Amino acid sequence: MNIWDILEIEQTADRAIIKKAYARKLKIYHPEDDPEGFQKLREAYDRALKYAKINAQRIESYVEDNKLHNKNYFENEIQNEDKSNVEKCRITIVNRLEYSLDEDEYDEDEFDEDEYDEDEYDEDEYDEDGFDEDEYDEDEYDELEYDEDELIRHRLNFILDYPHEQPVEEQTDEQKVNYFIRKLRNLYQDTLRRFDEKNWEELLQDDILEDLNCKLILQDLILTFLKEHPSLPRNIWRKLAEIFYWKEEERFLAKKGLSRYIFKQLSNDPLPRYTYFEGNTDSDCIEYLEYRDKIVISLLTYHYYKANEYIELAQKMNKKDPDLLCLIGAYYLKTKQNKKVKAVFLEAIKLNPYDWETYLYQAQIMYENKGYQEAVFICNQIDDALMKYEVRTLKGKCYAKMTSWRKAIDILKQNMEINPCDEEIKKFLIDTAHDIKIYLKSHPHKFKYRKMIKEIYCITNQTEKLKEVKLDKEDKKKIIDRLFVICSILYFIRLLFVDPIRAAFFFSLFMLLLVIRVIQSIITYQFRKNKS
Amino acid sequence: MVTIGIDLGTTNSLVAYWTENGPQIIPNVLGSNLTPSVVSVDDNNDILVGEVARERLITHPHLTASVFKRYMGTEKEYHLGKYSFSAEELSSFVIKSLKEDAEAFFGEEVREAVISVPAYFNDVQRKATKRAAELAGLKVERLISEPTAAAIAYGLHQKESETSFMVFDLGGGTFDVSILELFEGVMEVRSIAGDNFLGGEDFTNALISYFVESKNIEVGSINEMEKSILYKQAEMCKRALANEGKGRMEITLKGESYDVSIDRILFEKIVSDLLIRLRHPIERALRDASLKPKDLDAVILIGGATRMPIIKSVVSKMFGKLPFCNINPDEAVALGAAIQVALKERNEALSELILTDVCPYTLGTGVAKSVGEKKYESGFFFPIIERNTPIPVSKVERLATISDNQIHINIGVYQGESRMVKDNLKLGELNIEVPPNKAGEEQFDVRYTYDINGILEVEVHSLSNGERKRLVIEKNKGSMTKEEIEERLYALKDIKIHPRDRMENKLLIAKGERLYQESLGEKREYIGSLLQGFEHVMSLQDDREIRHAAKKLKEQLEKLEGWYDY
Repeated sequence: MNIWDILEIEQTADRAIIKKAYARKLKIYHPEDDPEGFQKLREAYDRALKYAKINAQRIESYVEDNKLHNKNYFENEIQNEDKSNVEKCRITIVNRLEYSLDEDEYDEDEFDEDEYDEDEYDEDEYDEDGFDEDEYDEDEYDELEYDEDELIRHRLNFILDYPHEQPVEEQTDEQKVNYFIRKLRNLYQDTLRRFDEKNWEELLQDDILEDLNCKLILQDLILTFLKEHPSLPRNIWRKLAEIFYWKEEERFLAKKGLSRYIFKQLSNDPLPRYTYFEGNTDSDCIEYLEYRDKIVISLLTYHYYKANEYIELAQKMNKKDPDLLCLIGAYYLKTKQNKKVKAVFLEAIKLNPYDWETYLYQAQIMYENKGYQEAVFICNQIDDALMKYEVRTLKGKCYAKMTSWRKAIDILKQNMEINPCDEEIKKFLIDTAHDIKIYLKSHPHKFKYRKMIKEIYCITNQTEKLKEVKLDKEDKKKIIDRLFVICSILYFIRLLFVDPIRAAFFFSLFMLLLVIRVIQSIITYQFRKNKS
Repeated sequence: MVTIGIDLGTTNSLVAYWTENGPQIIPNVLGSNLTPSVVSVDDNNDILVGEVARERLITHPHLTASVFKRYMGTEKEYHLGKYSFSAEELSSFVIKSLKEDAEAFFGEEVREAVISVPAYFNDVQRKATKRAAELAGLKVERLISEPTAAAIAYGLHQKESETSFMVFDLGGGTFDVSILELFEGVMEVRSIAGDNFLGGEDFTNALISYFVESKNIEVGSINEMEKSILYKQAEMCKRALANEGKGRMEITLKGESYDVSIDRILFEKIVSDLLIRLRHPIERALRDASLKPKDLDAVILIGGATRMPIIKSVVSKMFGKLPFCNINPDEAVALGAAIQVALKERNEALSELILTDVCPYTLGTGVAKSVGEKKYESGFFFPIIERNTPIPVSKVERLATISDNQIHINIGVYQGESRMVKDNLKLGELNIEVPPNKAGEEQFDVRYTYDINGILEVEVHSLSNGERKRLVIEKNKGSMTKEEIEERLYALKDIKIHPRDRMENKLLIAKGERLYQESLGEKREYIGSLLQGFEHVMSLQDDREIRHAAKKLKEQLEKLEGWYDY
């Protein structure tokens, strides 16, 4: 039963017809009476509308802008009052559109080939241009959604094909959007200005970002653009995230294939720096930097084959960048060539032995690959010489992951006192409390861990959760038991001095009770073991 | 048997019913359409609800509770005198009071109601609302989303055939945005979004903060009563800004007098952060509906806070058109709820209109994803029902085990928008056992069914051994059993609600006491003597004398209050 059968209409792109059909059918499949019938009907209706929308958009998104560029051509022809030529113009334009659409369809197949994966490391991610990291089964691909992304890409390509131009007096929304995208592209390509945050701040203050009519499509276009051109200073990523609320729209970003990279930028984790290249606007240098960023993205999305390609390209251009060497170390770790890691890290340090940020970067890479011991080792090397906030944070995190929770809490607590607004540490501590809770489930008698959880909630002001951490019956029993034991021992000692016979009697009674208790706990332990 | 429609609001509550001329609001015992959502305990340990209780917010702040809707479904306890109530129980008192108003109006018992909840309320909060109604003795067949209710109220007045519109609901404590489409007798919700912690109260609090900071008053030095006075001053200032373009706040603390003047420009600066917060839900709702602001034919404003001119201007700027506010923003939801009653009963006049709603949150479960070569990263959120899916809906996804010989599956049920489950809200979990097998060979279906009331049911079905397990999501208990209701009622039975017939006089006295508190010197003495006089007349127990004295006292108090109707 396809969607048109359910709606009982012919396949059409006319929204009014689709809506009328849905309304008619809704009376039969009323949501309150027939939930299953309603669901089927609704799904058919939604898909039909999407079909109609895409067919309408295909032509519309080009017409406005196209009109402007071909205006002169048109005008000349109109002036000549040669109607047949005007017609020809129009036909040419339409043909060109259809041709360009077809062209891109061919490109698609080419892309597919590249994705053939020779290493075992590539897997679930359906990949079109290297940076998509779809988290869902490719089988689940919604064709229509894919089409929408296609449309955006087409539109972006179309916009970028044309050079910058002066804004017209009365711009339509489409023209405003196109104009802004070109400004963005120009700023990015201007290597003299790309890395200066001030230029971006100016660009991002443009009124168009306040206009909700344009903002939504702008976001899609900007994200598609940045996929190919991700080399931007961290603060710019942060500003963009603020404007578009990316922090709260993780899953939407994941669909666009950039979420991991963006979240890395939003975190405080170290990333390859631009500092060594400041002021250098050589086009080779820029290309090198872009390779570096693409390595980062490839590593984040498990595309190790691609990462290797970019590494080779980058190495050819620059052999003395410590951050590149660290990235290579990360690559080795992820591809399990652990023996090479140490050598490459040492090389990085040799290049600039007093640069603590290189050490930090290496420690971070170790942390991300679960090499907590090594990370702590590296951190200690810096810590001995300098006290650095970020290093201590990382050390604390490592200790937590190694379940040395006491040490972790001590370090992170100190850091929180220095900087009480550090959201990252706060979040990490809460997650650690969560981990400790899970541990406690299988080891319920360890009071000190419960105390640790309480401490964490105190530090992070989680007063609601604090109330939840109560001693349960088991713990109370245990405490009473221990008190009982202590009192008995004291009494026994006193008796020894006063009345040895009674003491002996008391002692044997005590041992009996102890034996009973031990048997009891063995039974409950076995019982619990069988239960879980 | 009449079914009523109830709007249980953060600041005010209303009750309405359907007539052949359309929906009508039922006035309360004091003759007003609005009953403040405030509960107070009086000297006899009786419960007071409504305006009387609101007066006591200032005179007896430790015995009075308000704005508890925000805490529905949480464990927060309110200690009022010798009682300790949950937000649910407080709401049940309000609902009971409305029920009694309706019963007095109809002269017969009322047993069923349709109650409104914010569209953004999660499962736990909706269940709590249902329970509050049960405690009040009402059966709730249907919960209706507030913006949907308002939209219905608006939709019926529409003459055009196809319209898209947005409902902008800024109430006392919550902000809801809904986008709806009306065509061919179908009212369709396209998307909803909101902020559960943004409302008119926050604007009031912003004024208070500004006042306190600009006058360098130490927050710790203000006692409860003074806080209430400050709050009232801020409220009145807000209204003055709306009516006249400027307002004042003044208070005397420990002998020192402070006052400040605020005009519209300054107000806009003070609340600029709050205004920015309004944008995100709007953007999200538009994106989920695939609409742009210019595609909307109208924007409807509901919720008392939309009376602020700043809101009207922000909305006008954003959408390029003046918003519609010809429906009383306080009453629209209750009227809509009454219409929903009629729709439910397929009342003849409305048999043509069909309503479809959507699910406000994404619902899913926790999965592990492969990161190459048998390594798995766990804790990812896998959506099963995306937000803004039309309801009722039922979706099933097939999952598999990830290790060899795995015999336990834990299905965590989560709600939210984050990628990792730890950042989402956990609603519950299901555990099933599967026979040991190679990794990935044991498969099972997880089905999420979200019914028309927004209640979620999860079913897991193991494919190999056919085992099925079902869970209706409940954090606290779900629908109460008869025994549980009786138990709760028994606990509450000794708590009497103050008799209706003496409400008016009670209100007068409470008002007088409050004014007494707020005044100084001669004015205070004068009020004191008025109250004394009235209480004397009450003790004489002559009804006619009392009525006469009450009328006089009312006039006198109104004069003293000034001309702002609070």
